[in-house]
Amino acid sequence: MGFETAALARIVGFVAALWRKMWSSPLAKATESLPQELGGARLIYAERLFRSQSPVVITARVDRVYRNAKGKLVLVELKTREANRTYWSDVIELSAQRFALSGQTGEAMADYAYILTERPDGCPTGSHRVRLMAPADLIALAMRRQKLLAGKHEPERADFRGVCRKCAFVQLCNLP
Amino acid sequence: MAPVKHRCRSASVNASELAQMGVCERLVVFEHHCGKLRTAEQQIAIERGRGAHRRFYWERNGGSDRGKCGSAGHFGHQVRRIWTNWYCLLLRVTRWLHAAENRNGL
Repeated sequence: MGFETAALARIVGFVAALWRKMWSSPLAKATESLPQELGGARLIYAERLFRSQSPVVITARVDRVYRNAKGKLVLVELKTREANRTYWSDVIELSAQRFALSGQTGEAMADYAYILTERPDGCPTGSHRVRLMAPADLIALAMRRQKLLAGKHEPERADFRGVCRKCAFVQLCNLP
Repeated sequence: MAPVKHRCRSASVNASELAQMGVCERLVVFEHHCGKLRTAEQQIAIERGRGAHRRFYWERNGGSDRGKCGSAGHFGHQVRRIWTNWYCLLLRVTRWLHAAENRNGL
């Protein structure tokens, strides 16, 4: 009798959780994975391409942009990965997005952004607030890239050798 | 693994290309000269990421796509979602009951 009651309770609990998930309001569903700060924020752009003109031409497609309580635009980027963490490349990408968006629209942007991570099976794992690069640093990075491509600088190798294991150029690279 | 595209423009850069600078500078130079090479594993991850972004875009207003007609597409989507959820529920309950029966030696 005890086993049957426990079984029934678990089934009822599961059905109730499923029901709540299915019939929660659409807005609640859209914002449930967002950080608390953006819970009631207004979505301004989604999947939109922006382009800055000077001093470097940077194009960027943003995932989502919200306006926070202070009236500034906040970038939100989705990343699908096993590890619940962010990388330096994420910060560069979001900084470039901010540069392109503010360059094209002239809108005030927050100096931070959010990265939502989810596992490859679609299960959300968290949201991470990252501080973005200053525009001058981003421009310097873009300039360095141009010099690398022109052969004026020697490219540095990856700091983390795990990158090399997954790299398709590992044989060409011929690192010791 | 095949080269995807070789781009010869250095005046303009997109955010993803610039982000590669944070991964490996040698990779940036190789991709510029040889085109993008992707391992099978990376290609699968890219496709998976595209699918996730399509869903993320769909969910921007809670799954209601203002640009499209809301009724037919949205209704179909809801029906599919409800059916999938109930099917998963039935499967889980069935498996769980089987496991419980085996545990009790019934």
